[in-house]
Formats: sequence, C-alpha cells, structure tokens
Amino acid sequence: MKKCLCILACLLFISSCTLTGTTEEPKLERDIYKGTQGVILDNSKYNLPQEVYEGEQFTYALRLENKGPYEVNTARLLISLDKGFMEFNDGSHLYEDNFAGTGTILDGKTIYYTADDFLVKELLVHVKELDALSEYHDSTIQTLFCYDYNGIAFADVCIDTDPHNLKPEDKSCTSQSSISLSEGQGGPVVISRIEPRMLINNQFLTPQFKIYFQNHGQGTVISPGKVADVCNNNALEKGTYNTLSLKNVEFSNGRFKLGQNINCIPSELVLRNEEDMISCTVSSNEINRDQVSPFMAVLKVEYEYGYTESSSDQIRIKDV
Amino acid sequence: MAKLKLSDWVSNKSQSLNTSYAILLLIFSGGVWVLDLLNTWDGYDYALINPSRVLGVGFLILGFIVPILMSLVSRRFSFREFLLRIIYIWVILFIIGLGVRDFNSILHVILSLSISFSFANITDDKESFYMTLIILTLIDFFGFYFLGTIRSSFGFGLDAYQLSRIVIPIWVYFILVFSQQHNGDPVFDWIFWGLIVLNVLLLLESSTLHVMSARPENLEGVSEFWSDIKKIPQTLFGSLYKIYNQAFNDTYVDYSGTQEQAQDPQGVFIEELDVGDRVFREGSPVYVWAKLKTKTLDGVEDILTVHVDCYAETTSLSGKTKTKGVLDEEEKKFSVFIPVTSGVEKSIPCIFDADYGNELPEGKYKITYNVEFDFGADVRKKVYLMDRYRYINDLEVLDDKGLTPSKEGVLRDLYKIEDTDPESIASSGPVLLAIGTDSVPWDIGESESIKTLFGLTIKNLWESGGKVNKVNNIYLSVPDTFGLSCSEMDLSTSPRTPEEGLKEFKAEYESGHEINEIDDYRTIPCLMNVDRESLDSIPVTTRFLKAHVDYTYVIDKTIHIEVEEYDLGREEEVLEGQTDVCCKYVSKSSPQGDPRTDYRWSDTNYCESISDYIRAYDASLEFCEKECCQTGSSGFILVNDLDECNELSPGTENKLLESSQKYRCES
Repeated sequence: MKKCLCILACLLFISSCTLTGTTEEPKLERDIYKGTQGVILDNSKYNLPQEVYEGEQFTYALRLENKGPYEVNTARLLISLDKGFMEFNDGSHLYEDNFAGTGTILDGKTIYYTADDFLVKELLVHVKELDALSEYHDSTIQTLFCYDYNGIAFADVCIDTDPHNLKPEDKSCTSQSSISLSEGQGGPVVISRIEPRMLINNQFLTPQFKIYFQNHGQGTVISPGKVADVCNNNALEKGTYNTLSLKNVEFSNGRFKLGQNINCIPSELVLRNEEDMISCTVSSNEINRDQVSPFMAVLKVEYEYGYTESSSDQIRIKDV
Repeated sequence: MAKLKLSDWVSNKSQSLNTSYAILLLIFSGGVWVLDLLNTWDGYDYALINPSRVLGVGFLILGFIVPILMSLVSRRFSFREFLLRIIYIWVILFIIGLGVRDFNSILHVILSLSISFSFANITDDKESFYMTLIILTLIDFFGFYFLGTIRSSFGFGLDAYQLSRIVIPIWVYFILVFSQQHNGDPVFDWIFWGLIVLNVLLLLESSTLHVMSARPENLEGVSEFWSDIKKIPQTLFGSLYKIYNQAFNDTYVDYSGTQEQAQDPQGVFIEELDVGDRVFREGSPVYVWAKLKTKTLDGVEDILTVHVDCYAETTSLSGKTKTKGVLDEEEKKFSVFIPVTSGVEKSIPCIFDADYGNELPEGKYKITYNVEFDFGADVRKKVYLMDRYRYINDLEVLDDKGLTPSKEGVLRDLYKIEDTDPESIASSGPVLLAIGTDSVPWDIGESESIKTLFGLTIKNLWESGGKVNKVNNIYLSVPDTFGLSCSEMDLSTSPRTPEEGLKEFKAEYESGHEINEIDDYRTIPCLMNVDRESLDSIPVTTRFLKAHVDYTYVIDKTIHIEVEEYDLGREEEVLEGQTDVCCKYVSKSSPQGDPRTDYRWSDTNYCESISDYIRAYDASLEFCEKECCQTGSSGFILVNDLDECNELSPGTENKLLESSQKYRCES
C-alpha cells in the first residue's frame, strides 16, 4: 500500500512537471529579443556634404545597422540619384545591391555578442555639369532598403485551471487579463500585448490567447519573401503589403503547439492602421481541470515579415 | 425756359428745385470738372488782377448796367441783396473782361451763371446764396492757383495737389449740398458721401493725387493718369478675357515657377542716371550719363554687346515731342552698340547740343535710355513616374495605414520624398521660364503609354522696367524615352548637342507667327508621350524636363530734367564785363592721349561756348579760387596756397598741381 502511494505520488509529480512546463528558454537569452528597431539606415555619421561643385566627386556613405537579434540574409538596397545631375562610378544613376546574390549577411545579436552588426556602403558619386545659366541645383539622393525579418515573443502566462476560484487550495498563479510586451521583440513589428483567456468546457480548460501585433517603425510591412518585388517598380500581388506570417505559437515546451493542438484565426495577419490581432486557442479536451492545477508557462510566439525603410538626402550642386 | 428763368431771377420769384434739373446741373458741373482735368485748366493767375482792369470793369458796371438793373428790380430786393447781385455780376464781367482765354473758362462762366439762374429763386436766404456764389466763383478762377503757390511762397502748408480742384470740385459739392437742402432726394446724399470717400482716399494716396494735379507743369502726370484711366476697362475686360481663356485655352495658362535665388541676378542693368550738379540753360548743351552693368555667370570673361539709344521727351498742350540724344560724340551717332564686360560698370553719355542739331529749348524733359540686349534663360522641372498598378497598391497601403491615400502621401509617407510637388526652377534674369506639367507621380500602365502635359511659359519679370522684344530660339528637352509634340509649333532636332539621357527639340512658330513683344507672358502648350521604358527598377523614377530660351530684351530708365530759360539779367551782367564764372574746360585728347582739363574764370557766354572743346560748363567756384594739393602719393585736396598744402599730412612730400591736373581734386 505504501509503495503504491509512493509510486502514485511520483507519477503525479512527474506529470505535473510536464504540464507546468518549466521555463523553456533561459531568461538570459530572452533578453536579446527586445527593442523596436530592426535594420536602420544612417548616413549622419559620415558627413555627407551639404554643397558640392559641378564636376566634383564625393563619397556617399550609408550605414546599415541591424539593431535586432535576427539575421538578415534576404535584402535589397536601392540608391537613386537625380539622372543628369549625378552618377555613380559606372555611369549609372541607380545602385542596386541584392544581399542574397552577393552573400551579404547582417547578423543578429546573440547573448554572446550583443553589439549591432553593421555594413557601410561607400559609393563614389560624380557630379555633372549644370546648365550654362544655372547657378545651383538642389539634388536628391533617394534610398530604399527592403529586407526579410523575424520576431519572437516570450510571455509568462498562467494556465489557470480554476479561473473562478472554486477550489479551496491555494493557486500557484492567477490568470492575467493582459500581458504587456511593450518593450518589443527586437524589430519594428512588435507584439504589443497578449490577452490570455481561460475558457471552460465542462471539466476541460481551453486556454485562448489574443495576440496583438503593431508596426512600431516608420517603414512599411511587407509579406515575407517579397523583397525583390517590393524593391522594384513592379505591380504587387494582393496581400504583399501589411502582411505578416505567424510561424509558431507554443507553450509547455512544445506540448501545445500551433498546428497540433493550437489553432489560430484569422489565418492571415493583415495590419490595418498598423495593427492587427490574432486569436489562438488550444484544442478542447487537452487540459483536465480536475487533474491539473494552475501553472505558469512560457508562451512563445514566432512570426516573420518583410520590411521597407526609405530615406532621402539633399545636396546642393553649385556652379563653379 | 431760359427766358423764364431769367425773368424769375429778375422778378425774384421762388420755385422748388426739380430733381431732374438738379441732376442735369450736377452732370454739367461734373463734366466741367473732367474737362478741367483733361485740359489741365486751373483758373487764372491772380497776377492778372491789376488796378486798371478792376477799375475798367467797375466803370462799365456803374455806367451802364446798374441803372438798367435798378429800373428793373427796384423795390424787389433788399439793399444788401441788390449789392451782392451787383458784385456777382461785376465778378463775372471782370472775368470776361480779363479775356476769356479758352473753352474751359467759358464753361466755368456758364456754370456759375447757370447755378445762379437755377438756384437763386429757390433759396430764401438770397444774400447768403449770392455771397457764396461770389466766393466760389473767385476761388474757381483765382483761388486754386493762389493756394497752389502758398507752399512755394511761404515754405510750408499743403502741397498744391492737395488743394487743387481735383480734390475739391467746388461746384459739384455746392450743387449737391444745395440739392440736399432743397430737394431731399436721397440720391444726392449718396453722391455726396461717395464723393467724400473718394476725396479722402485721394488725399491718403498722395502719389496718385500728385499725378492727378492739374498744375500746368504736371501735364505729363495728368496725361499719364488719363492713359491709366483708359486702361481700366481694358484691364478689367482683359482680366475677364484672360480668366476665360485660361479655363479653355492652353496658350493663356500662366504656369508658375521660381527663379534661382541669386545674390547677384543675371542680366543687364541701368544702375543710375546722372546729370551732375548743374543747371541746364537754353542754348547750352545737356549732358546725361547712364551707368550700365551686366552680370553673367562667366564673369569677366563674358562680354555682352548691348544696343543703346536715348531721347528727351516733353509734353505740351499740342502733344508729346521726342528728341534723340547723341551717344557717340566722335561719330555723332544717335544709337550705338557697346560691349560691356560682366561685372564692370560702363558710363554712357547722352548729349543734346546745337552742334548735333538736337538742342533742347527751355522746358521740362523726361530723358529716357533704352538698352536692348540678347540674353537667355534656362528652366528645369523634376517629375516622378510610377507603374500604374504599383501606384494603386501604394494608395491602398496608405489607406490600410490609416493615412489619406493621395499622390503626395505615396511620395512622402512611403518613400520619404519631401519634394512632392516639384517646382519649376529657372535661371535668374529678366525673363522667368516656367514648365507646367500634370501632377506627379505619373502612373504608366502595362501596355499603353500616357500623354502628359509639357507647357512652357515665358514671362517678363521686369514688367516695370522692360519687356521682351523678341523670342529668338526655344529649345525643349525631355528624357530620351519620351516623345514630344506641340500643337502650334514645328519641332525639329536641335542643332545643339543634347545632354546625356535627354533629347532636345528646337521649337519654331510658323513664319509670321513668331513671338515678338511680350509685356506679360506667353505659353507654349505641348504634349509628351511616356511609356514603361522610362521606368527605372525602383518604385519611384525621377526624371527632369528642361527648356532654354534665347530672347532680345529691352530695358529703359528715365530721369527728369529742366532746361531753364536763358537768364537775360545775367547776360546783361556779362555784357557789363563781369567774369565771375568759374569754368571747367575739357578739351579733346591731347597728343599724349589724355583729355586736358582747365579751370579758369570767364563770363557765362564764353564758358558755355564749345567751339573747340568737348564741353565746358560752370564749375564750383573753389576750383578757380583754390589750388589742388597732392599729399603724399594718393591724396588730393583743395587748398588756398602752398603753405596750407604743406601743413597737410606732415612728413609726406606735398605739392601743388598745375591747373590741368586740378580735376584730380574733384573726388
């Protein structure tokens, strides 16, 4: 009898360990998935001249800095000059760089290397002659950068099997109405908050998570894998703009996972007014309220998207 | 009716003031006022009032008219009223007796008499009425002229134009006030207050008033005023015509643009006209100098050839008279071609002298310089192109983002292009070129090309000082993937080498339809053909449209001078042997090449004769009384003697210059 009780206790202990889901990701590693910036374009450090003279040359330097923890290996950079007023070394007024084609990569931050990876593009620009009667011309350098990016969010959620406090024993946690993730996930598209809800279906608990996405940056969200189309003059397919893709939602160390026992609606994330919400629900009959006590779990949400950043600089070309 | 009025006037019968009659009189007085302006009638010089004339008219009245009147009107008037009537008649007869000089004088007499006949029997207070009539008639004929001389005589007071009959149309006001009192029709109130407002505005806007002054010496101003008045209906209907045409006719559209902000704009300028500090007299030569300057981008390497002529203009009652001036004394030319280096001032004389047959008699003149030169202007305008469906996608994105879907929004919010509506920018100069296009970005479809506007406006910017005399060449440049067609012009490949990436067309009007004078602006409408070939592999493609125009421009500048009557008194002084004029003689070039200058005492006649000199004229007395001292190597000061010269700049070697070098002390 005593032996049976001991074995039972052990089994219970082991099973509760499985359901409560110890923290899957080390807390240290989660810290790098913070921030609201992805890749930024910056030429302020490189003293772009405000005035140049006709016939002169100058260097246009642009720094691409990956502020987030995600690798950038699919990207396209376009730099356009005013045709007829300036040109690059090859005689063209347009510079194009495809990361995939050139094997360029911008690494993301890691827990071992937290500095931002960056890349500096240095381009020699030739200033052409002005019209005979013209004293100056204000010329524009237009830059467009498109890249694929990711986002991973971690949220400590309470799977509260007794949301209405019917059971007399103390609970290890209480269900939250909203979990704020305002610090971001290390990219311009962030999950701003998660609202867990514990739905009761007889003796079973159906956790539901409303996940709110937001474009925090100044650029435009594009569908992942559409970098080449967007950074071009092409017409775009429907759904190219403002579309994200949800890769994974899981908790309890993958015990509950998107596509297995978690379903999310709508199937497509489309931002309207730079926001959207998706609702993910655990399948019924997965958690028995009578058998499982409330427990903390780490909800992990993974998503991917593309992004465009643009900028323009002005230079005055003066007559000699 | 006139007989009835006269009979009533004599019999002193009262009547009521008929509205129509009062308005008729008002129109008559207004007409007389307008004629005064046109003919610059300003009454009689009060200097004409001399005792002999006063007495003569007085005897005429006393001897003949008074007895007749007394027999007609005895016992019908009080003594005061009778006396005032006699005085009034005396004033009228006196004015007539001075000699009715012109049509305006006759009208004023008739006007005064008409008012007298019309209103005398309506008012009950006839004494005041006649007193007023006498005063107004005297003011009308003598008072304004007198008032105009107050300021010049006493050195203070209102200006002549502020006291002129333009501001105070006395008869109009009198009729209005009288009609208000004796008729009561509100129309007289409206006209009265309207006139008050107009007068107040005229007083505030004194420049217009000055022009409107009816002083004989401001004939030109009055003439200009009426030219401007005549232009009002022209301008008004012209504006309506322009608005109508701008809506329906592309050649009347005025495309806007800006010029490059240059500290030193390009062009040719008449910097100033100068006559020096001297008085011109009849019989002596008149010299005017113009400082001409050009500015081009090539600086001192660039020499512009300009065509210059000048003339003197005077206005009299018989009309305008123009006299051409001589610009080249050696060859006696009335117009010249002069090379002017960019950035360097050039002084150009304009001479009127009996030797050249263009002497100016006594009077007031407007001297005008006309400078004609060939110049050019460039203009450029940035345009944006997009794929049509990409553009629609971008509009949808803006809507999804909660932003206003618009052309500006696509450029600014999605691509950070701040210059969403690029302006046409032209080079500096007297002519502003502007390119007008459809609003950007232009969306280009998959298969068909688009037709979009390219309008070029050629606008005269220096309206107040010049005009485009002729447009010589027009060149239009578009990107080499564009097509271009103009409805009113023939396009041919430009003979000039086009810029890389552009193709240039020379636009020409059919023979006989060339663009000649442009006072305001002209527009050339064209259409471009743009297809997908023009797009770069970037969402927003940037391209430039350009144009260049060669033109001939004319500028003018004026200065007013007065040639005074030859002073008989002074001549008499000279004949008595006085030589108190310090005369500057500038001779023709000496064998060494420098003009020789002498200062010497002489009489006026001799000083102004130029038999074998370029010019000789009165100089400041001190140049004859004093010596010119050179201090050190660069200072020149007039001094009384050598001692005073040595006291200047101690330590340096000072010396007195000979008389031919005295001109060095002029600066």
